[in-house]
Amino acid sequence: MYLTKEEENILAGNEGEMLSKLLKLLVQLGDSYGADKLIEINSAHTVLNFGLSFVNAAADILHQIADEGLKVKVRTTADPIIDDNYSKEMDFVISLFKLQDQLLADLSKIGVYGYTCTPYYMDNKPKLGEHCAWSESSAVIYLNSVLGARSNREGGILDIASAITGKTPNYGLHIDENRKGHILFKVNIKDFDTHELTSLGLKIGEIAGNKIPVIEGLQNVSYDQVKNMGAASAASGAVALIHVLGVTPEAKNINDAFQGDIPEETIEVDKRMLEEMREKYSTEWDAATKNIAIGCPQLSKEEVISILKKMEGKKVREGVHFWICCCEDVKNFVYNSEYNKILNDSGMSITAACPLLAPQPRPYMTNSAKSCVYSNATYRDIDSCIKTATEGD
Amino acid sequence: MGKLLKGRSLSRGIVEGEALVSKQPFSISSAFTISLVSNSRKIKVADRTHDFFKKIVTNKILIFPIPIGTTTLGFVLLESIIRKIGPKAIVCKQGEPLLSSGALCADIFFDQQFPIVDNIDFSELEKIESGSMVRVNGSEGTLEIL
Repeated sequence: MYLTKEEENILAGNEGEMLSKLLKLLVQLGDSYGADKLIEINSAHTVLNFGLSFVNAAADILHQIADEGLKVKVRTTADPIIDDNYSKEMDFVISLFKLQDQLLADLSKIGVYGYTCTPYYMDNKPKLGEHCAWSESSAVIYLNSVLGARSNREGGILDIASAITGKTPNYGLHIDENRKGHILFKVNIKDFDTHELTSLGLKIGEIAGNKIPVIEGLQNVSYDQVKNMGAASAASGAVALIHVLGVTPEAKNINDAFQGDIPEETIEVDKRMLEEMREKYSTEWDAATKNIAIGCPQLSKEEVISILKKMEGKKVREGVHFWICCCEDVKNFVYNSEYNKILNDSGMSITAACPLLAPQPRPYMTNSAKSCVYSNATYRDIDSCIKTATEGD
Repeated sequence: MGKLLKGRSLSRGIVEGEALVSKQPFSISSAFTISLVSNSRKIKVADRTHDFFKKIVTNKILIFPIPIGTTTLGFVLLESIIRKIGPKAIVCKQGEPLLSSGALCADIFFDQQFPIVDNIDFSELEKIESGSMVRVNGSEGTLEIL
């Protein structure tokens, strides 16, 4: 690929060995995938957030970066970390996070701020057309689809390399023609709810794999619903951009979404397919549910308010944990709002942590399709989760 | 010389080993994370929706159509390479940068090579039987059936 004099200078190691290695990673990757040059980014988001032993090698690289005194060049957030608001039952899980202190100190040292999988509910919200380097599959799909900003599916270290150098290779979803839809999904369901949409997301991910789906028939969905559906597609598949006709910014109409081309394939979606997804991804436990977590991806202010309103006058049963997970900003909003009373009276808990960390104690129930892909959870709609929490299975 | 399939090099290195083949897209994050967190000596696939479920991938050459799943994939693969408990190489129809990043980081930061080859017609790849010996040349972008 073409490199500027400055980039060649960095690559040659004249600005330190670590910076050279980070740029080398981006250049080698860009060369493999046919990038013509590096482009400047405006924002980054990393998944290097859990101090568990599966990040030993990546944490080691990050530690060296921090030791060298390198800093991020753009606004950079990270996925959720452990929150003190966890219960005693989580002590065992938290004890496994042996790298957490080092990881947090290093992230903070290089300039990462804010820990959430929904940085767009905080102040890391890129604008239409902006180039970014984001990880966290649910955040990438939201960024590309709902915000119309541009990022490939980055990963731990790649995201940090881009944040530190301020650059990413110009390929994939940074290029107009690569944002064209491939598969048309026609949804023939009236009065769908969020649960059906997340099941639809699972189906779309399974069929689309790494292609770009275009959805027809969902004109009235909210961005929060697109978030939940997209997170499912990014877990059951590798979808990074989903066009919802009449809803997302690059899909004003079908011509817009397919960039004047015709779909490679058209899939008619019916309720039976969604039922099939619910059965496939749900783990049915014989024992009574002990733990319910909502918020994968983390909840928006509106989603939290909607759940708290449903909980008004209800009480979580003894021996059952009922978590709602959201970013710090939304959590603090709740603490300082009229809804805090419902939260306290209901006995449910709010946390800025990741619900994927809360599969203990089991049996575990959630409304999140993504959580069900990554843990043995019972998959139910929000009303069933609330009923189980307050009245039992 | 055995049958040679030519694809694209995503990361360098040359290895030989037993193939483990699936027609299903594969989520390395779903499959490997539990073994890594529990410090197992081998990686047993934990993804119950996959036909690799409960199979040991250690030292195998994994062949599948595309990588899927969340973006921890890069450092999960990296960790399995550095601990030497993961597969020896990956060959697929179409890779993605996340997959490459794990192998590139191992090479650049830890001096350990892990070959990945993609852009091989899957109708050729799926003919390979699990258990057969193959050689992956990541530098040349080839898979040889031995």
